Amino acid sequence: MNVFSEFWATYSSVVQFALINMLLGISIYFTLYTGLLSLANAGFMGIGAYVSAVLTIHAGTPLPVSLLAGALSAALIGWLLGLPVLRLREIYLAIATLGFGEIVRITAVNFDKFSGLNLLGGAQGLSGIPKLTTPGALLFVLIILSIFLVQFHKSRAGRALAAIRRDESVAATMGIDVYQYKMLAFVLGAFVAGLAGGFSAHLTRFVGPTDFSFNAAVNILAFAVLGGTLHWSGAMVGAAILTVLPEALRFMKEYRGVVNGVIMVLVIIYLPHGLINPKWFQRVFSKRRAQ
Amino acid sequence: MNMLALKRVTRHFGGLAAVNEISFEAESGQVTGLIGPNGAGKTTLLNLISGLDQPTSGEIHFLSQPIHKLPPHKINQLGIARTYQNIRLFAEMTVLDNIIVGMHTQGKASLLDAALMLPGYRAEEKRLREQALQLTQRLGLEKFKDTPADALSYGDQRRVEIARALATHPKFLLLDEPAAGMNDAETARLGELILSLAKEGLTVLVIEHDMPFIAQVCDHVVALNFGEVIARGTMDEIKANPLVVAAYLGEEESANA
Amino acid sequence: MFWQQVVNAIWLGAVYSLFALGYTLIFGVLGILNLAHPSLYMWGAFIGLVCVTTLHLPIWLALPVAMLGSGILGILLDRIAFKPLRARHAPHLATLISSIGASIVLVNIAQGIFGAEVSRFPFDIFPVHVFNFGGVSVTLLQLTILGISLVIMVALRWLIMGTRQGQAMRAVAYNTVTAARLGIPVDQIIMQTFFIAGALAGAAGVLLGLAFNSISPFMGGPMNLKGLTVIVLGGLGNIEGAVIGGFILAFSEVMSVAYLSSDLRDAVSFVLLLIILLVRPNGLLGHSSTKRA
Ligand SMILES: Nc1ncnc2c1ncn2[C@@H]1O[C@H](COP(=O)(O)OP(=O)(O)O)[C@@H](O)[C@H]1O
Ligand SMILES: [Mg+2]
Repeated sequence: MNVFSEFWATYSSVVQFALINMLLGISIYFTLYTGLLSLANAGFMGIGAYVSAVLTIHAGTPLPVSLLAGALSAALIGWLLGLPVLRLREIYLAIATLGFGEIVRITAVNFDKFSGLNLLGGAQGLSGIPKLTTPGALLFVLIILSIFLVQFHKSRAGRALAAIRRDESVAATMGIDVYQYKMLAFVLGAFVAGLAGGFSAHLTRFVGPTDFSFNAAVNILAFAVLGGTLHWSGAMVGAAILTVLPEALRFMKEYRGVVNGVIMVLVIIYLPHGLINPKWFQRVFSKRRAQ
Repeated sequence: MNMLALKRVTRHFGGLAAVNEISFEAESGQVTGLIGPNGAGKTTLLNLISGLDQPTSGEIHFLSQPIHKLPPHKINQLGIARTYQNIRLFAEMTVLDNIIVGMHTQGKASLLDAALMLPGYRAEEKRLREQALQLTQRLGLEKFKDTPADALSYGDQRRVEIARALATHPKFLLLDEPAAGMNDAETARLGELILSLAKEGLTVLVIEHDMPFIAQVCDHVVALNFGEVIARGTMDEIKANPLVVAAYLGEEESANA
Repeated sequence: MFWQQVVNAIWLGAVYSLFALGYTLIFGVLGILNLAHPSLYMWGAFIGLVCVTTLHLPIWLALPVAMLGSGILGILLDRIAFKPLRARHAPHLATLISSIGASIVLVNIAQGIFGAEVSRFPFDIFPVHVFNFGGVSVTLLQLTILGISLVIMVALRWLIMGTRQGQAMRAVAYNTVTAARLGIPVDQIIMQTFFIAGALAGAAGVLLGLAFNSISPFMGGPMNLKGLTVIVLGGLGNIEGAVIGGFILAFSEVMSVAYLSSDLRDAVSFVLLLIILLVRPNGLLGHSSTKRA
């Protein structure tokens, strides 16, 4: 027990960051599962972080309410952004969403100045947020989402998204409203990213405008690339590994950051479906049965 | 009564008129054949009808309603389904899953129903699965139901495409070279299937190069060349038409050259 | 006031164009959106800086050395991050992700070597000389930057339109398989394309590094969005379009800072990008999307 509490004292924040990143992994999974490469998730996370933090600080709302409000705001903005950009295909969607984190940053930095309010803290960011995030709350949300994901794949909507990813023209001639379903995936992703942002704000007790830049978007993408999108757990596994890895690589000092990039390149070249590939499990499984 | 009416439909690709002022009707309950040498514009015409492409000019009416400006999913919901010349199945999905995707519009369960595992959702899933199984039986695919679609032979894949199209409960079925890659026995069975579907009231438009097959299944044939209708009528009339003969002879000459 | 802004926009636009040319060239020839292009720009600036500070080379020599260095980096980038994907016909998104990974590597290595702080060229590296034309002032540096950018752009145009090399590049752009059948050494042409693109990025890095006298491992970040805006404005893969796009972006930025608010400068790129994507996704000079299928 003593060993455990010592471990927990050292690593509890790493574990919680890992759980938050797993949420972000789920958020990008929704879009990638639909075949959409969107880089807007970091921006959605920022919206969730700011909105929930402002509510907690100024309205004193309990964590679940702040989180839900943050996530719904992110989903709403996601819907507004999706209206135009989901008409774009492939790399054009990636390009159009790439600058979204930048818009969130500019808005956050200038909001107080233009509105005359004192809410977001401008370039300094927003600090003094109560630390309300707990590992239990994070785990609870992750488990609920995992159950949702399992059901999701078996549902009509899940099948429609899978069909769109494989061939959206064919999906359309099967009566599937491709645009609406892309919107569903996009908004679900925004909602979960907003949730992650809320948890993060109430864990680090700080929200900074530069936290949701292109780099953050790329990190989230890296989770999904490493874990793969063939299975819903892929991006979560990728997120856990990439959060813990830097801790294990402390000895590399300044060059730690290189590892993320190297992993992305290597995985996309040598393991294009990521680490979690259901076919492998099936094969292992059927071998066992054969024995 | 005609089910589908094309009125001076034209589609340009740059300077090329792939489809040029084409007008014809497909009669309700009949099987219409669409023939013509490669590059005649047959597939382009199917794309225009199914909404994957829009005409440069002209109108397409389905059940007296203009559809040439509708998106493909709306057109499918009105009752038009299709297959593809270059098979476009959802490759790694199983045969049954391919067909169940086709049942999309038959389901009503929302994402919330599924997430909460409501009884209505489960009953619906069961019903869709049973219908999909029936379709595999009808098309002789039951032994492949759990096989990934891309593991099947060409002929079997073409039948899965037909099953998936039928799963959308169409009134009007468009088939783009359904017999390509099939052996004689498979082609014969396909012909019987199309005839039995027509007997049940389905209207069919089928593109094929296999003339005996066209003669077997079609009530009416439209021949295209260079994007234009060069002849229409029964198979016997078409076969005797000098323009059609010349079009196919021309193709053979260029193939031999 | 207005004419001063115009002058500022012109030299800035020239450098934006220079940067974007390599970006769009890679897309035009290979259909790759190379998000590591801004990292080559950053490396060009650092190589130039090392030439001047450590090797004590004059700046006119540092520029070509930096172009050579970032050109070689461009080739390495292709060999490591893109060639294996090309070999197995991986989808667009895979190359895009690989380029992002490569850019993370390039930025972090630079940070490891040069540190995260802003580095600067020595103060006396370039003679400070201000010309004044009726209230509008231009520095010698700005004029030089403009001149060099224009010379490089003209040279690039000649290379692509007027040489066998360029003809081969255009053939590869049109269709790799056909080009190979015609006996064009496709692999070699791709290498040359990456070299040229890298060299162009490097030149832009040195010139902007000089102009703003600020070089850091993260200087590529803002250029990412700017570069994308420029090449989407011009139409992905369109050389003339990239030049025009560079000037349009520079004008929009300079004018919005001068007449609206400096806070909005960074938003200009994104707004321009969104508008053009939605209204004319093939760019201002764009053709129909069926061309590159
Ligand atoms: N997307 C497209 N872009 C340009 N040309 C096309 C396109 N689709 C078809 N075509 C051209 O239109 C003509 C008709 O093609 P298609 O309809 O496929 O003929 P068919 O199915 O009768 O063999 C051909 O010359 C073909 O090259
Ligand atoms: Mg065809």
